[in-house]
Amino acid sequence: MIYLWRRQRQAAIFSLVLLIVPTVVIYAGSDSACYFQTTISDHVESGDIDSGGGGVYLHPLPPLSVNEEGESRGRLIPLIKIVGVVVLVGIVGLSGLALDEYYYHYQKAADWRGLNAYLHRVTTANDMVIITAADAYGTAATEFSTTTLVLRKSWCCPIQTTICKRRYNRILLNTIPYI
Amino acid sequence: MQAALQQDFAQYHSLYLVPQGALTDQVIAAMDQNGKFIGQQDAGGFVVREYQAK
Repeated sequence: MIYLWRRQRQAAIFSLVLLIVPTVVIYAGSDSACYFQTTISDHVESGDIDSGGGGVYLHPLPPLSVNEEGESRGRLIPLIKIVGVVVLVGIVGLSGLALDEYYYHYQKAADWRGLNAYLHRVTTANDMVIITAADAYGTAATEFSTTTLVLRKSWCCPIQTTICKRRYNRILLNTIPYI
Repeated sequence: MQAALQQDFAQYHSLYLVPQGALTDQVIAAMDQNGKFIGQQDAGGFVVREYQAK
């Protein structure tokens, strides 16, 4: 709800998935485990347990026998548990990686999109923008280099001595000016 | 440098400077010397300084 309130739709969806997926996996795993377990109703249907006469009691003989199907079920139960644990460990690990990325990298990263939106709002075709950070041409600021998020490159001149300029539809980006 | 800067001030209506990195001080000094500082805004954690020709 906080993410939605702050209009962080992607974070809201990601958090929702983190809540739903483990729950579904746990539910599915536990449901499958119970399915393979022998229930008292199975023994009633097979005649091992006599429920007649208002009371339920076990016949003294014969003892409960384990057939081949029961053996295969018995082998599946530990396998399902192992798979469930592996899946949960994977989900928790991915969640940890995502949190680490969010709190230790994303939060400290420069908001190039915010800068991009502001520049596109205030500049005209007769303006020039000078960004001295080399990141403007790097992967940290793909908005300025290759994507069509806001700025669409119309042409790019080669480096003139040490001055590099790129012409976009509305602004001229100059990263290394006057040096 | 002076000639290139004056040429850009003459060619463009406004020059927006986003100072960041090792060249910040030199560029700001050159812009202050050759242009008129209009104002600055914060955008996405960046400082954007606007200049126009004197």
